[in-house]
Amino acid sequence: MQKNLEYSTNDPSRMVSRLIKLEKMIAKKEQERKERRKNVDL
Amino acid sequence: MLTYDEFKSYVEENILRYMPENYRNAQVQLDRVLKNNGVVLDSLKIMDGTPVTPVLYLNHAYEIYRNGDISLEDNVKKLANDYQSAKQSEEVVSYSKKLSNYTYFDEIRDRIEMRVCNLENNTERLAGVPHKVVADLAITYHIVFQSNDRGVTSMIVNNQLFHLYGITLDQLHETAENNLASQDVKFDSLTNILREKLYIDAYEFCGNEQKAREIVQKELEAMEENSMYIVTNQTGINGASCIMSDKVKEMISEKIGGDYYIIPSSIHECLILPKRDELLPEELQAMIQEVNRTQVLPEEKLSDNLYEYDSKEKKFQISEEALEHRMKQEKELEKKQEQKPSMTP
Repeated sequence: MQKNLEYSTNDPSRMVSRLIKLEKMIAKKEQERKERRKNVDL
Repeated sequence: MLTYDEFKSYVEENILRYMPENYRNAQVQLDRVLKNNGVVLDSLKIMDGTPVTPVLYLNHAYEIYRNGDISLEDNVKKLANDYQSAKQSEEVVSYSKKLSNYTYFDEIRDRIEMRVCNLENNTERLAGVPHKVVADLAITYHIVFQSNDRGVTSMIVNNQLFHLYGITLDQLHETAENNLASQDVKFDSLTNILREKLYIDAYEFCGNEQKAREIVQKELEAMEENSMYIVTNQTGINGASCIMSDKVKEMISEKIGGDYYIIPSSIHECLILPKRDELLPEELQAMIQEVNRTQVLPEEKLSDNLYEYDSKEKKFQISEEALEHRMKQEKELEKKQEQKPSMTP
């Protein structure tokens, strides 16, 4: 039987860049929504 | 400048010239390896009769040659050197021993781990392996031979092995789930995870502990603590699979106190967001798609969908489907209330 060994890695710098990008996008949207709520009385 | 096909042929015909005398009768074999999400890489193996041989990938080597970073001869020499150092590494030597009994399930039971991938993007690969489907994802099972922060060496349980083991898919899944001990799971705030990773880079850059801490602090000062979390495994490699474990999903809901969204940031980790009014699923989904398009390697992408976990029903679902289900339930409830006879005279 053929043995197909796989070698997996994860580049930490790529991980950091995708997580920082996600964090910034989410935090921005949350902040915008919080600000809007402060200005509108529902 | 050689074309890619000419380059592959050149390496195949010439690599043995840079190998020691005892490789003169070895056979060089070019092949194509199907990776995650249908990514195909060209591989080169040197078959010398030993049970374990490293695999060299030629795609990246050609890129270096095409960019003019290295001459053709130096490139082949480098591939030959890379091969020899991998072959002589302690890991490869020890695999030979560990591999001898891998066809017996009891021998490898403790080494089975699960991984998660996108169902639609891996139909070809999944056709040859036992897998469980969860929403638009698939869980596959792997025998891990070596694992550390630098990399994980493993072998997928394919249909041939699965039949040799003579077990059911549920038994295979249960084995993987039981092997995922709580100490293997890493669940922490995003800021803590980033602090750890950024500090290593900052220290390498400036060589001063205090200055490295200041750089990291500045980078993270705008981030709110405890509003976002990461779930992965201890190596951070293929760690998104942790969210496929029922006990991990429950553990997260206990720790953050309720329902949450799951952002599949890659096959290596997931971002966890406690549900709150400021987060709109459709906006989160658009963000996932943008990050997948701009920041994630094709072979590391997990999904374009947002998921959510309902802690009362213990249910993991695609958010869009969960929303449709809730709307349907609300409509049915309204309909029932309309059909009730009026109590007023």
